[in-house]
Amino acid sequence: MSTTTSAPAGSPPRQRPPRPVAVLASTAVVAALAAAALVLSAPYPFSNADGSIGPGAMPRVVSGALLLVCLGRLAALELTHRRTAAPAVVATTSDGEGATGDGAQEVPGAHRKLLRVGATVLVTALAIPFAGLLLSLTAMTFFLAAVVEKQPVVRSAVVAGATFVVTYLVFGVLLRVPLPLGVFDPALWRS
Amino acid sequence: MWENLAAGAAAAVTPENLLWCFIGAVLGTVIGILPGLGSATGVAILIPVTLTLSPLTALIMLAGIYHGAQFGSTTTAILIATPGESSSVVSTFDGYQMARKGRAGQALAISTIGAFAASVVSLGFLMLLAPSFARLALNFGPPEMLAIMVLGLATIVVFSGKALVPGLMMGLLGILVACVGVDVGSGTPRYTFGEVNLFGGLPFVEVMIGLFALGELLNQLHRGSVTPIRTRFRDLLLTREDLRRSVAPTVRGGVVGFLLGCLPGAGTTLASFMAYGAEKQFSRNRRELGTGAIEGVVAPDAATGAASNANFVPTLALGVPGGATTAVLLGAFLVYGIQPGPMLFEQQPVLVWGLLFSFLVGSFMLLVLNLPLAPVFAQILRVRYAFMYPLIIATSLLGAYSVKNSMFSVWVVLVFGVVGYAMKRLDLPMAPLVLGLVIGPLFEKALVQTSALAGDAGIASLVLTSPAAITVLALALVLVAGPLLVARLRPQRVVEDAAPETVTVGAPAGDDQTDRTTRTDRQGDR
Repeated sequence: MSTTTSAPAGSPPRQRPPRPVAVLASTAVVAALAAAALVLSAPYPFSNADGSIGPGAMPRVVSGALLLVCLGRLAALELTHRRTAAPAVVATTSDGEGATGDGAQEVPGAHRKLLRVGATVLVTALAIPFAGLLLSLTAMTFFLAAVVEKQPVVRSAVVAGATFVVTYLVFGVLLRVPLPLGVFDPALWRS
Repeated sequence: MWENLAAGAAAAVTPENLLWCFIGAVLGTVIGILPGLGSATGVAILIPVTLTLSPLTALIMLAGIYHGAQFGSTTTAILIATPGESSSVVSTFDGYQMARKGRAGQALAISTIGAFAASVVSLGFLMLLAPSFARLALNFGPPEMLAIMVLGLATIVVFSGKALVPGLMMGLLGILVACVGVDVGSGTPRYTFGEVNLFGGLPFVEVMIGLFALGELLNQLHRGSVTPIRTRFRDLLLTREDLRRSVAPTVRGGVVGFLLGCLPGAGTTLASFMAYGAEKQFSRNRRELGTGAIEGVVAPDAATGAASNANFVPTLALGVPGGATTAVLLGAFLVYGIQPGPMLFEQQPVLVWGLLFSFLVGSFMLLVLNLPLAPVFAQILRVRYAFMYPLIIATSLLGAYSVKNSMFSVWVVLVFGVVGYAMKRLDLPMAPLVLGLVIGPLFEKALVQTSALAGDAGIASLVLTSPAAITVLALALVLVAGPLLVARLRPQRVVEDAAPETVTVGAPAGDDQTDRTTRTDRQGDR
């Protein structure tokens, strides 16, 4: 299929725009989830012995509908891509509340920072059973501010210290949440 | 009604409830001011904190956050053209232009006054309407409740707006996620894979914290923000001309906001946009709109104030959320063991009327807080995000852990944080997912009950013989088909109206403003 027929003479041939890969990928992921849910719902009966709706009805109907919507969207995206030379239009969100619609913006180096932040949070979550919740989160706060964000060390330490004190007072003292202490749990050492 | 109102008022003005209402209003204002941290996020993060409080106190605080965030988000919209809530997007059109002309204080002041006035008047209508709705719905059985849940699901379409297919996808995904756990009808565990933590379903609060707080935070790291415009206390003084020009837009915005806010799923965003559209149609100074006209600031904020109260009409009376934040609040009701709906006014009059009266108290608190202190609150915008976001992560994870004292909650937050971030980047609407999560189980319960009642006759035979159910189903049909038909019949008008509204939520500016807000203003890290 050529898209150059309508191009003005002398102008370079217009290239087919790239597929909206992220949209395709996300729709495919949701479609795969729906398909998996549909398959996994097979053991649940569609209706109960008394004729009422069974545990399999909702999962099967909803996952089936979701799969159809996703496949329809994928087909529509592909058709749009084939038919037009213009970039495939991805409907912008105008949902009631909460959507950002800012997919086009990006701070330089954002991906690297996001990876660092994500890795830090992941390590923090893994460290909680050993170092305790408050200590892990305090260390995370200090690391993110001082290392990832390259803020002054003293100021980062003050912010992390304040985080420890405030969260301890709110969650530990006021709300009496039994915060895990990890290896610092006195009960562990007593035994 | 008056007896209940008096009992509710007495419950709402206890020192403890006043204190939590104040805390909620302050926190809400701060959350609204912080770009990206909207009312839904604030409510989601703070639900765990309220678990030790009585249900009324907890709901008063959460409602304070909800209303406070509406006020606070306008501050960022006006000062840095970055709305904290999508309902404040419209405030960037003229509010930011006023700020750039050195009238930031006046824009903040008139926005607060307009929102307060509309909020108080709409509260009166809310108190009159909601019980009437509830009384009508009191005789509802399973078929009628099923029809109401269909109405609730129909609002997914309304929530989706122009992004119908992504909205449907997210709504269905929400319902599917809600299927995880023990089935309401037979007690069969579904999609639990033997994991005991999943037997009760995916925990709502943790999912909300992940989607809204962590997801939005990661998205914020992806984006920059603009340098805020400074404002001072003396700048807040309005001229007589400002006040004269603001009266009619406040009334128009309030009416539009209340009417749209009563519709399930309409939320506050639609109201603010429609109010702006009404100004473009009816205002004497409509030619000035978009260049810093005070009508363009006060009308959308009045609409938002009225709609935020009106959202509670379907939420309390029918158990169908009015908007995304009320959907999260609806989940909070369920967390506290309270089932919103027609029976709520009968079974928990003190709670309902106490909550409604607290809206009035909260409105006065917000006026006092936001009118003179707007410049002070605006200083929060100067706190470096480099320090802010680690605190938000720490609070989110601690809050999630405290719900069940379980690390499972922390992992749920992390997983749904990534999901929320991906949704933001892909412009997938969040509200339908929340709606699916909340309404899904209620819909299934109504479906199971109706099918058990109908037996071999079939569900349709039962539903279609109930006039109330048919009426509700017709309303659902209107909700779904109405906007589509209107859009098809008036395509030209929609394009015209949409033109100045291409500004994106959370973006520093859009359309005509893009040119004026230079990229040099942006900084990745304040």
